[in-house]
Amino acid sequence: MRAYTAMMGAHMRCQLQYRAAAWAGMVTQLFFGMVKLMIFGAFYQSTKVEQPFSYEQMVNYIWLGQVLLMILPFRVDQELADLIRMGNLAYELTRPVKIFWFWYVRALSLRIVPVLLRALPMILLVGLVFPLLKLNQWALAPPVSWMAAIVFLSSLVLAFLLSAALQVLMSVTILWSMSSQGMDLLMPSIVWIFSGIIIPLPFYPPWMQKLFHWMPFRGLIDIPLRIYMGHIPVNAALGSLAVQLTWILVLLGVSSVLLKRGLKRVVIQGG
Amino acid sequence: MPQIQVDEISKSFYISKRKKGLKGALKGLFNRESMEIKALDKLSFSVEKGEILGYLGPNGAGKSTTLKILSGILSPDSGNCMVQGRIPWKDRINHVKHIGVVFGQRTQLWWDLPVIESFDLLQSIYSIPKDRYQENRDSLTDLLDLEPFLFTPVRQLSLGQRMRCEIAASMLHDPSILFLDEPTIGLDALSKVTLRNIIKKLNREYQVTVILTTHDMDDIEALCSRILVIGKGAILFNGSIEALRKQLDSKRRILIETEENIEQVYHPKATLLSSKGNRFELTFSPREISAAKLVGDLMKTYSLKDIIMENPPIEEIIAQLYLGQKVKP
Repeated sequence: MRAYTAMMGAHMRCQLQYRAAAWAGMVTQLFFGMVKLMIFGAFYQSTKVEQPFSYEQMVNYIWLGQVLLMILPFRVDQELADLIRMGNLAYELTRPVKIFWFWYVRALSLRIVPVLLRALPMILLVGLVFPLLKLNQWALAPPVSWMAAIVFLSSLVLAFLLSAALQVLMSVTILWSMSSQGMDLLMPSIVWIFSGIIIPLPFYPPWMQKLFHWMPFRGLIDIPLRIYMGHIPVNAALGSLAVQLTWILVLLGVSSVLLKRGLKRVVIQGG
Repeated sequence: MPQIQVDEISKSFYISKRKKGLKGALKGLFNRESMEIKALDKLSFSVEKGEILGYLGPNGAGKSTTLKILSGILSPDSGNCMVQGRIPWKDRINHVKHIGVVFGQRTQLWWDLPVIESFDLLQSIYSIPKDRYQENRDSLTDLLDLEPFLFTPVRQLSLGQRMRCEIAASMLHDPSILFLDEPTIGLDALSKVTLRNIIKKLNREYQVTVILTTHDMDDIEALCSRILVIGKGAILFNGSIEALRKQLDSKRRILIETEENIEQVYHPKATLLSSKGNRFELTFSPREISAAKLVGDLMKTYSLKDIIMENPPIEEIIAQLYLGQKVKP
């Protein structure tokens, strides 16, 4: 156990090197948040039909989505991909640890640290500074209730676990493809659409929602966000948490089986 | 029972082939031909505790594959192997606690972290008790002289410094066997000598068994009590360096320098290889004439300023082996 926590700590420390990237990313995320506010503002003003969210709820969905953007597994863990491609996997295998959990804690730190680096300043800005500047119509509101806040946090933890599980599955595919290029092209388009980060999932046509229902991606941000703003009421939220948990277990199971097979067939590259 | 016992292990790899050109590429989309490469072909040998075994062979002979099987990273297609009573690939996690591995062309240290932090991480990964860890770390730091760069990030170390750290890293958890895959590759002369002394010391002071692959014959001569030469996955030679020298009908060389310039140097049992001014290089077979007799004869006939005797370079002997002359041990 200590081996895994120590590894996670080390990876997190390594991630902290990317502070400049975090600041730059934050500016971009704020900018796109504002753009989305404008677009959806125009959209709400030009329609009389009742929408799945109120405009106030939409503002929350947009800002929290921007704050949590880096939870989404857009890209393959490049270091791990190189490690597999160049054959440094040999060294990983000389450690008395289970490779799967080794990779999982690595994926967790890869997803957690960038979010943590950006979350606090962004929340302060859109949640506290905006209201002070009388920009209430653009500000992030607190969760609808204490209960909602607690369930939201549990759902967020599950979202990190889920995202890391997806990340590991992506890494495992490298054992077959030996290249991260395919995944790096494929994942962004899937994640952008199916997570709800571009358009909240309840806004899609019913047949697509059925599709989303059978996919793990709504557990990344759509579920936690809708719990936060009360779109999924607290008493219904347990079902949503169960969905997240199920996907975590399924993905972990699949990737651990694949990893076992992949390691057997992998020819340790480069002599 | 030997510490390491390898019985007839075989391992093949399959690499995919593609025909040239666009046609070949298109064909490759539908059916791929693969080619079998026999990395190891019924390889057997054993190693006793405390030995330093030199493991030699041309590139692609199967050295690294053997080390990977012995350290539990790969499993062979057939055959068996016991290391201290364990089958490495069946019991990987338990097995690797007792071995240390260094791959000379890779690094096991965290590139962006100071050396000491890599060591601390390894302590956690191997669950080394705290006092044992500190003792090992300090004594290895002394022995390998790591003090000056213990707090430097690994990416800023020279190759020689890094290799010393790699070896220290592989020794922190008290392994009883150390696998070194080309540890001296790319090092300068001084670093090589330092590293050899370190390996000797580790072997003596920690009673650690060492299996070392290298292409540097000086490594072998300085370190190894026994050498194992493989080629195309099978053993070509297994024994001491002296035995190897004797086995081959090796010619020896003598270089002489005469006082005055003369045309030729002649001896019925020796062949002149080259001459340059008053320096002559002769070769002879020790079976036909002893070195002492030849030198005596030459001194009687000519007035000599200097004599140098040479053993055939071990490199040439090994090269002969690689070329396919199998030697009976």
